[in-house]
Amino acid sequence: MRRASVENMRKALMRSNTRLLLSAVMLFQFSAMLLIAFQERPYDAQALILAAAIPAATWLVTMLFGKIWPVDRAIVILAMLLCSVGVITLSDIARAKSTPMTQAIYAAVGVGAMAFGIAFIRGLKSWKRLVAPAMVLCLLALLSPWVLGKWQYGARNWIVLVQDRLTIQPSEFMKPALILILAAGFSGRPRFLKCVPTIAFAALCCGVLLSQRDLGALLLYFLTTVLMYFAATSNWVVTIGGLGLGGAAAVIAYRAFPYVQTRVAIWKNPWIDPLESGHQIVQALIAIGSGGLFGMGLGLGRPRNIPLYHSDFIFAAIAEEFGLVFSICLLAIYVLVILRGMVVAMNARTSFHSLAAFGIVAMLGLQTMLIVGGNTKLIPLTGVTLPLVSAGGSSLVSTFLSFGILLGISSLNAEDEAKDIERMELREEVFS
Amino acid sequence: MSDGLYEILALAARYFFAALFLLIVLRAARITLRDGRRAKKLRRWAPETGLSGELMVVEGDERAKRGMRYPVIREGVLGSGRAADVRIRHSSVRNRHARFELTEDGLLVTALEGARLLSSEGRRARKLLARDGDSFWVGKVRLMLVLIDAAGREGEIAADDGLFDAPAEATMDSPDGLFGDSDELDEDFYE
Repeated sequence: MRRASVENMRKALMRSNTRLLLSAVMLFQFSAMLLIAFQERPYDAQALILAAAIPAATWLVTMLFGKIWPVDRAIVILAMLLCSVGVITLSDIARAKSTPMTQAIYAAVGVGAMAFGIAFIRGLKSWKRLVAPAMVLCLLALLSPWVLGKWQYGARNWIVLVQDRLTIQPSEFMKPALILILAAGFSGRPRFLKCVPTIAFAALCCGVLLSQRDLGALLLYFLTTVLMYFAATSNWVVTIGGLGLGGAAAVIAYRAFPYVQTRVAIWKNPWIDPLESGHQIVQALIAIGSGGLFGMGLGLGRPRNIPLYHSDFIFAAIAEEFGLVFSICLLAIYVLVILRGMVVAMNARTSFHSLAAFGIVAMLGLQTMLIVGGNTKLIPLTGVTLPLVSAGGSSLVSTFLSFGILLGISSLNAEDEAKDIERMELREEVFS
Repeated sequence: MSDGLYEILALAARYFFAALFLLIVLRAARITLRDGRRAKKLRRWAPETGLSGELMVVEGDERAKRGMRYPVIREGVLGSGRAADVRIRHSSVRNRHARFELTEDGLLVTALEGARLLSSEGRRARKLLARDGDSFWVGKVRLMLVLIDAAGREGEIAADDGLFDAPAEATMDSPDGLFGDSDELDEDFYE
């Protein structure tokens, strides 16, 4: 009877077979890229290369990561799928041919960042000592656009490394760092006073982002901090107080900054000025509407009419090309990644790991909600990217890094569970 | 490929892509549900999953009587309050008495805001490192730590730690047998 239970536990530990999921994902990647390759006459060589490279990379990454670490393979596969949806859509809609290839190169760098994230979180033993230096480094990095950056799309959140070639957005790279700092600061059920330095750091970050007018990142940082604080302490009073403060700050920002008023006015009724201020959202709504249930067909839509169709409005472009059914499935994939991430957070053995996993999926969920809500006129538009899908190296690499941390925590959970089984087996040997 | 043929292919492919994505979502949802069910089963079969050891009362009264055992997770708060991870219901134990954290060397116990925490020798400590078999005082309750993955002391052979010996000599009345080498514990471990 006992022997049977160990066997059952062994089976319980083995995660479900992901072969069919992996095959379906690879088939989608291959067939979509192949279709795009034959859009041009005789064929588009770059798309053909990507048609072979993307499924191969998905298979290799899933197998390799699964062999090296006991990571949650389903999350790896879904992350690779989301990334490939981005490359496929860009191959179809981007004006410049180099855009999808650049995105694919960033994705390769992102996969490296994911591996680094896994190794980093697995090797991180004493995180408390690193918190103070990490806070200073983060603030310096967030302030760097004031020295090395320039105003772009109404915000000063970029730094230029190589003129017209390589720019990076520090606020994107600071997301995983912020989550780890918050997780370290809020771990071990601290009282409010002990959390004050961490909350002050997050508030400082928000202040810097406000000065750079990076409202999307500001909103993400703020909401993630509040959610993580609540998850760590279950303190309703402080959490609601924090949300109230945030709401008050939003009202003040609305009154003080004309560009916030403009955004809200566009959100309320974009049709007042459909050719100027409301142009983006009007075009996005037309695109989503014209896509219908199954889309216009890959390569047959006109998403280029939407300004920023490749980054902020890629969801509208996907809805036009692939249709509503596909778009809802895309959102369902985000939900599934978040669900799996929550399971990782709940199974983690230390509060630091648990909070870090929770923070990553909370930020992923918030970011998706903000941009999809903005695209569909559900909430005012904020300039954040659709995680792993939108064009943009900083966002892609940083999201992959966050996924790496999540996968690293999932591998630590799996190892701990395996140890539990070993212990049970040992006990049975002794008592049988 | 001609434009007409491409259009027909692209129009047909959109149903294929939608069906493929539906399959992916359903498959991923099924895997997620199944993994959730398996994790639940795992917890039912091995309730000690996630535990690092247990604390046993060796001297105490009220509702923390001698012999009572409290499961210990990897980190948390020890106290008499409902929110405590290890809840020792004794008048001398505060709601949030001490914080504990499993380290590679043992269980690091830190007194919270001047709470009474004494080493086995009766020396007051703000922070102490308890190893497998060590005891310490929380308020007026003496607790002994039993770690599942006991960290061996220097020079000790892990394979022969006497874990499976018959507990003939170790009784409550002869604490030396119970506490093992606690008297020889290196003083440096205490702050």
